[in-house]
Amino acid sequence: MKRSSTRWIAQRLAQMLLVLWVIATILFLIFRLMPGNPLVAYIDPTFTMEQQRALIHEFGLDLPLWQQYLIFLKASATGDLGVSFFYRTSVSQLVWQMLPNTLILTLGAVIIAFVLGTISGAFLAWKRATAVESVGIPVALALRAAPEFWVGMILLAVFSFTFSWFPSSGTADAGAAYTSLWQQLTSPAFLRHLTLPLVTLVVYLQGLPLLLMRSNMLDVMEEEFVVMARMKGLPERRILLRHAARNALLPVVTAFALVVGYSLGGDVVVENVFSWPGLGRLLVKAVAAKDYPLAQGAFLLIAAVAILMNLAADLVYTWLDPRVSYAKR
Amino acid sequence: MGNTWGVLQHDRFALAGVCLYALFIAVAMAAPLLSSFDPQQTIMQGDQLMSNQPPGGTFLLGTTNVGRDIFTQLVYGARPALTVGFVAAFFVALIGTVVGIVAGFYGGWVDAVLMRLADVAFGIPFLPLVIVLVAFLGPSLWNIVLTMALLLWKDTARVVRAQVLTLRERGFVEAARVLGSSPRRLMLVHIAPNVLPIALLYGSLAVGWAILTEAAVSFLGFGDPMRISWGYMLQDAYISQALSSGQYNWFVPPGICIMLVVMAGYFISRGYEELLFPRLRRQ
Amino acid sequence: MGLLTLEDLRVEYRTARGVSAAVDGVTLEIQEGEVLGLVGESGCGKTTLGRAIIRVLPRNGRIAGGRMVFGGVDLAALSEVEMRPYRWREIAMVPQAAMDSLDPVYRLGDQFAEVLTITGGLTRAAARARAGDLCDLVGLDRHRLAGYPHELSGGMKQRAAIALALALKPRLLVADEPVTALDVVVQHHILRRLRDLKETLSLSVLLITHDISVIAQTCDRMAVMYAGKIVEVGPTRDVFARARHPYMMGLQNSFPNLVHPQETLIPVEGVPPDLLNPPPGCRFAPRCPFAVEPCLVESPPLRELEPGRWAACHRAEEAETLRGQAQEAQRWRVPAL
Repeated sequence: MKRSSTRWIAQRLAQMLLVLWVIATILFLIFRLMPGNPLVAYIDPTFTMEQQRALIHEFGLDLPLWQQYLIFLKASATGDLGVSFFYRTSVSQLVWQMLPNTLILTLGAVIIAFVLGTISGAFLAWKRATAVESVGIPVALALRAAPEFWVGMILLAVFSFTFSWFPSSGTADAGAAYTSLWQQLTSPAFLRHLTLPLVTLVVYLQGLPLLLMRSNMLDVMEEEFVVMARMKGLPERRILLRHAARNALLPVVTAFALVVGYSLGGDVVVENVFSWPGLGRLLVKAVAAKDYPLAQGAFLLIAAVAILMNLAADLVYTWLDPRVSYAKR
Repeated sequence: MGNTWGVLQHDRFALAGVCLYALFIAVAMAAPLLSSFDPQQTIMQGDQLMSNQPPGGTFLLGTTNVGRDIFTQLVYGARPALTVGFVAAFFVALIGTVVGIVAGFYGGWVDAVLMRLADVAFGIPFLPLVIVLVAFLGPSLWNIVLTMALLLWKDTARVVRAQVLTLRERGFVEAARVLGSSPRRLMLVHIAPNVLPIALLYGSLAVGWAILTEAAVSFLGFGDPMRISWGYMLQDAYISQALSSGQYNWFVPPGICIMLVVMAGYFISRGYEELLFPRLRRQ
Repeated sequence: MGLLTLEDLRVEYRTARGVSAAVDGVTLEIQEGEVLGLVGESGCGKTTLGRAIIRVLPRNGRIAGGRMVFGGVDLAALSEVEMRPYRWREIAMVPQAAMDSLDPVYRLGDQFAEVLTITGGLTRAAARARAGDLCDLVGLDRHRLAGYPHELSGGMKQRAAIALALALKPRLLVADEPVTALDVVVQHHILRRLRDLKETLSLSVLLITHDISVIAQTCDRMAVMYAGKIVEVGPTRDVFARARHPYMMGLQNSFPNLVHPQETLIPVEGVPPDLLNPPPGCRFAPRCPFAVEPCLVESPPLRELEPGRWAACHRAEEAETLRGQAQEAQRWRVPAL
């Protein structure tokens, strides 16, 4: 068993690298093929033509496309993602710095949204044909239909500006800084800053697991083995939790991959609403400023996070469903 | 197709959805009748700029910080929203259906290549890619539509393909094949009509996705500066500090409109879903 | 005194189109230590009857009248809480589609342990031991307990379902189509095993099926059900040899008989009545080759014609003549009325 599972993980990692390579290539082409001077963000208006040409040469932008591509590939593989036009520092350094903030926010939100969503979904299924359901479903649909940045704006306006319960931006109070990741995670100031963006993202993401879990529960509760469990004289709560919910959960976990896909998009938006210093905010700033190396690096890292989360979801699913074996995949 | 009406009759939600669509379409078309202002117009009364006016009187929802009427913007905002929504949804459904039919019908390496393509797309986060592409292509409404159509087709394609695979084995397709129908005829005449309901289902879902995406892209500042969309209004409000000055009249209504239109799409698609994948537990 | 006595039991389903009585005034007795077969076509109410006995009906079903007396207690009148001690400990069920009655995400052994410890109150160790014994009892390899349901064949799953049903030594086992989904060889083994178990465990079995050959092979007594009512009861041998109800005669005609092979099988034409609006009079009359005027007007009661022999037919006394006529294919093609 162990050998085949290692092989499967290796396969998936290879697949992941393939996707990353495709993305990197697309990005490379996009940024190189854009009209206009690629260095427009970097160049000071006081630069002379002479200096501009020198700069272009320095960045290797006068080389034939395929040569640039190879250089780009080699550099990326070794972790060198170039230099930011705007910040004039290493892109890798910049994106790496921002990564923890994005991870905390996105991963935290996805996990909480899934837990809350599945519990609420199971609850709604249990309360079938009651008033709870007739109110619950439209509310769930409404939350799914509401733009996440708008929800964020409302939360911000109400809880940060109208009632000053929570700070309105950033990860730390003005002037303060965190000495280490651990200190950051455990500091109450950080948690206060984290609350509103986290809640916003959770509200946005919980809709899918909720509706899916409810739908699955309703199906599973009609299944023969659930009826059997009742005949066996097992208590209702046990049937709901250990039999119905456990089986209903499986397709919800496969939906995890789907949620991951748009959780990062949601994260980008939320980071911008709350000025949360993460990859999303960095990406938007970089694209707006036409800072191509930085935009590229930020996007690559975001894509890598997405793919890793997908991988994790697959692992969880295989662990939960005994009918699926590594070998079959 | 006759079932379509039946769905609307039985499912109150689907009916509500259609009514909402009708309402917004009516508002979009009748915008000049509903408001005497222009959405971009900065309004003066005498010498004074009517900025940040509270709701009431001439300005039903108040004005922005540069004196533009919010209600006018809201009403005119229905136009880009619905345009983006329906056009993008149409293309998503079209591309997805075509790909799904081709992949399902031909199978073999065509299928493998197309599905691999969809799989690869699966790993890429949608909104970040849209941002990058729109920045590349330029911030116009049509570029946003194009980008979405290019990226959102995979769900539709996958489901259509599954349907085509089951259809392929069915009697009438075999019969047509035996009678010598060309592949194109088979696909067009026999298979396409049968996957139409699925295409419509995902089409109505795609309307919602498209509107939400456009709103997000506009909010982040990459939207079409020529059109006042609801997303644009929200961005405008945000950067004009409407949040801290408590101008709820400015930033709440556009969000509600977006929410209602997207919900309408969900309701309709739920009605179709019942039709396509009926649950046997209607007791 | 029977183990379980059903008195005028009525079970209704609420549907969008109205109320239908799937079980309409059933009176039946299951004796201690016997295998009683209940036969009838799909939709006649036999499954509903089985589920009513164990009091697990679908959401829209309910017991609308009558009694189910088990050990002196009317089960139909019990509350949910009062009923629970009976489930699995006194009355157990092997349901239709036993394949699907096992939870796919739990190991077989865990599913045994669950019912043994929670409903049965055994310790984990005792439960483990008992699970092993149960496997031996039904002829299932003990090693299967460590695996998952999807790893078992159809026959094994059926054995597992039977073993689970017997876990708490119930006095009555309700087996709903226990062998329908299996091939004939496996069928034979399982049915034989059921009979043996009945002997060794002094168990009573209500065997529900649409296949009268299964009844012939396994049951001591049999009851025939049609459109929610019992139409014939008696010792299996006698019912087969001397059927009293035209429906039973028709059933015999439509199944192959090795002893008296017919040239062609004669099906019973037509369909059972709509239970939302059952016709007045005998429910079988529209399809019956021997129906006469009174059959359309008055529903025949279930009468004891001889000790232990019951039939619900106005013309039951003429059964001998009718049996002869029932062999003629011609009679079955055109209804009598």
